This record gives sequence, structure tokens and C-alpha cells, in this order.
Amino acid sequence: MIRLLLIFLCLLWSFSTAAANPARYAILAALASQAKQADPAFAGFSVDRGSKLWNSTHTEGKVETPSCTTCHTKDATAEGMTRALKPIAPMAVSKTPDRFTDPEKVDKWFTRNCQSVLARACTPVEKGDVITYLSGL
Amino acid sequence: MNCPALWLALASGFVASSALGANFQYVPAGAKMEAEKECSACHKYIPPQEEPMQEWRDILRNLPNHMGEDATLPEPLRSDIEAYLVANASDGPEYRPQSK
Repeated sequence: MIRLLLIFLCLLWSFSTAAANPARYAILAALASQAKQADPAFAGFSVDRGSKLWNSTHTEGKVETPSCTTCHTKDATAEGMTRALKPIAPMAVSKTPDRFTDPEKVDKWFTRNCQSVLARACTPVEKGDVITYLSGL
Repeated sequence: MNCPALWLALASGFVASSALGANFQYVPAGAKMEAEKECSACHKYIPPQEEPMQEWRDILRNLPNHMGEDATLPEPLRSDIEAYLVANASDGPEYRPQSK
């Protein structure tokens, strides 16, 4: 029991840089807990996995949105643009410090955009990976 | 209440609101603000009077396929917004001509 607690605490600490903001920390912690429940071998979120998921091109989803970068652009520190030409604040936390601090907003956009790009829901691991990746940019 | 005039007034009020028929929908408080916020995230906001009721229903009931993207909203937010847009549509019961 203590061992599980220690492992969980290490997991939480491992994303401390990504989680300097308490609200973001809470969101990541909730995702980590879901990830752990789904797979006890879960060992933490990964910037590499997040970067891969974010930057790659997918064919499973809608033809209009093959990648996260379609609207958010390949530079996460730059403003993105919706397909209707509305600006999107940069996804990089360094430029938009309140990114990933509102759990409802995070849920809403992952629900929508994973369906658009991947034609499915993103897993808690994928969401945590992406947040961790964008938190470091 | 013994006053027949009052009963008559209540009855005609009831009939009048029923006369709005199947189109009358209760619009929750704050729904206008929610519509303006949610429906301007990706594109310029389209005020409800610019489309007929059926168009709004078609859009709000098919958000996962909205102009080539998934624009899903959680309940009850989605139904609140639908109620507001339908009520204030160009042929809706709450339509008021907009003064500039």
C-alpha cells in the first residue's frame, strides 16, 4: 500500500515542471489517475509521445483536419487559426499561461478535436502527453 | 378566487401561450450569453434571427458534424443554446426585429 502510494507520488512529481500551476496540476493528476486505472504499468506522461501525436498527420479523421497542427499550426508558440479564420491563442503554455487550467474547457476541446482529427476519443494517456508536451513549449 | 374576470384573464393567457404551439420553448436564463460565447469560438457569431428555426435545430442536433468538424457541446449547454436560437430564429416565437 505504501509502495503504491510512493509510486503514485513519484508519478505526480514527475510532471511537476508541466504542472507549476495548481489547476493544471489537478488536471494532469486526474488524467494520471485514470491512466493508472486503465493500465497499472503506466509510468508517467511523455513529452515525446505528446509531440508525436500532436505533430503527425492522420487519415482516420475528418478530411478537413488531418492534424492538430492544421489549426494550431506547426509552431505552438504562434497564434493558430480556425478554418473560419478566427485566431486561436497559442497552445504553448509559455505564451498562453492559462492553457489547461479549466477542466471543462480541456474536456470540451479534447472531445471535439480528437474526434475531428483521429475519429475517436483520446485516451487519458494521450491527453496527458499532449498537455505535458505543450506545457514545456 | 371569485372574480370571473381574473379566471378569464388566466384562461386567455393560457390559451395564448398554447397558441404559440409546439414552437414555444422555455429559454433558460443565460442562454443568450452561452450561445454568443460558444458559437463564436471558431467562427463569427451568427445571431439567431439570421436563420429559421429548422436550420438551428438541424445544426444543434448535428454538432459532431458541424461544417467539417466536431463541435460537440455537453448537455445541458447544448439544449440551452438550441432553445435560445430556435426561440429567436427568423420565424421563431420570440423573434424581435433588431434595431441598429
